[in-house]
Amino acid sequence: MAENEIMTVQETSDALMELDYDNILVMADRADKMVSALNKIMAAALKITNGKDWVLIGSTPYLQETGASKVARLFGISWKICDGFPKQELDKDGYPTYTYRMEFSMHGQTITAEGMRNAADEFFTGKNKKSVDEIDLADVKRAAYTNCLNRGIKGILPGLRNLDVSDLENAGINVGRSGGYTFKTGSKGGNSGKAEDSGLVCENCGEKITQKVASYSESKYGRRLCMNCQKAAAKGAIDVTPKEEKQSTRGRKSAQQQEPEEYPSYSEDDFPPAEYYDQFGGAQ
Amino acid sequence: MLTAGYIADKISAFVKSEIKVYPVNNLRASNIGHPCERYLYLLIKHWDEQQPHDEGLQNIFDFGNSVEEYTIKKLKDAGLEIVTPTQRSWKVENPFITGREDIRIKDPEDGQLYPAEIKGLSPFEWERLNSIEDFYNSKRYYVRGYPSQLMVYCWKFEKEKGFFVLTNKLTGKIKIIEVPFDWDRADALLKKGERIYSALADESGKTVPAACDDITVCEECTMRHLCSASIERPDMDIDDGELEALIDRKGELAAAYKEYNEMNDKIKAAVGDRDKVLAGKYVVTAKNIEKKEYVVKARTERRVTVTRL
Repeated sequence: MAENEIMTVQETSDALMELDYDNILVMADRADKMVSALNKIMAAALKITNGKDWVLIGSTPYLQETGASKVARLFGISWKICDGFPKQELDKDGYPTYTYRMEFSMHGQTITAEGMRNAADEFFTGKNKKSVDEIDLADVKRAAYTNCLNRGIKGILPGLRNLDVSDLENAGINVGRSGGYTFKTGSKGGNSGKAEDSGLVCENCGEKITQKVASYSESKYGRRLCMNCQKAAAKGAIDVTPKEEKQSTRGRKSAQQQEPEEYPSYSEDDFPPAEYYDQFGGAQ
Repeated sequence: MLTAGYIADKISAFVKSEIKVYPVNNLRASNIGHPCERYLYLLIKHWDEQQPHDEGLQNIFDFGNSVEEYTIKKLKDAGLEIVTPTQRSWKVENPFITGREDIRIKDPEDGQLYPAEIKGLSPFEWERLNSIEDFYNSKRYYVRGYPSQLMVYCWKFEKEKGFFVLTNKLTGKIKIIEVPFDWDRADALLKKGERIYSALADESGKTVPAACDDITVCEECTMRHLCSASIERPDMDIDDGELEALIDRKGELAAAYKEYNEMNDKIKAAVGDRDKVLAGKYVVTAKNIEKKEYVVKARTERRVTVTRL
């Protein structure tokens, strides 16, 4: 083509039609292999974790740092803290926010993730709002690091998000050992670990239930049920909203998860470390 | 109401209350053998930011103190003259290292007091450690670091040897390992200390000692949130199914393989000293073959380990 010749640009919508048929087959084959590889990764990741590596937040299982570290070891995920991090910023009341930025790599693929924690978070200040001087700031910094690590590992292995309890149970994970946490509408609910303080009740019989029991039940049965009613539901004695048959176990959120009205101000990245959830204890 | 859970909670709460982070202002004989200079540097520079150890490790520390008492009593009961130094803490200058001796054992002939370090070990570790080389070759970095303590003690007190007193935490059995003073190793430790202090003296913070490249150390490091060293792991490839099938097949054959070998042994035993035996449709012959000895040349072998997920 001469330098001054006007180049004709193919319309995008037609571009696919112009692709060689063999190329499409190659692409499809590659996509199949990718899906197959991802499924293998997921299966392996689930096999090396156990119930304690997961926490149920508002009915959704989240991998904690203990589990993320196991997964990182298995898949050979490397990382380093980026230059200039961690960073500290103070809010108007003098509470610092620590931010980590880390680079994660696996198989030549590299991503960058950030994690931060604010000392003003109730997790660090407690309900009585401790002053900055009373807070262990090293603890806040370490939590930011953990947060970043967790995000990075889950970022480079995206299949670790968007799982539900059934995925874990099908992989042989005892979800009863996982911590659990759900939210009352418009608030975080009680956090003493006791049913009386949670403000949550069984939707079938009205019995008070713990955060953990509610979280597990929501995930399993789509409703907040006490343990007795969960057993009855498992036998079919209680009519529960049947969970939608899953077309795919990954990459898709249930209708319940798509309506986050019960935990409006939280994202996965805001979740505190595992020890936080332990206080909500109570064996399932 | 008293329940097992209540008692367990009380113990756990107590152990957790014992977990403390203490200031670290200098190198110690007990940690100078740590393989990572970066860690030792960060530990002094940012001691207040180290991650506290967990309940499990606190239990080990507490139990270790009991083991020390038990071991000292056993040595004394055995008639050895044991000196628990009244001034157990000491320091050396240039580089500044502090230490705390466990005990000294008196030589009945010349009256010399030799430093001895008591270690309570798991039964597996206890079985493995039978010479000073076993310490240096240990897979566990903290075991490799144990002799450093004695090296510093021997250097400080000008002793030509020290002892490890190893107590099996399961059986209570005690064994002693003699540790000759090794000047080269002691010198390396002192130079390591000098490098760390030199980096600490740089107020700009630009001089940072090298981090070790042992991932097992990094994974357990209490300063990892402050270390800019890369955590490098080998990539994992994903098999297309062939390898899994081969491993499955090997697993299926394992029982048959074992039985095959057992049968082989039984056939040899049944033939015994006989040179030729008619056995139904088989003729079995046997003869003695002289095997010549040979030296296996040094080489690099590739070890493949299969672990079930």
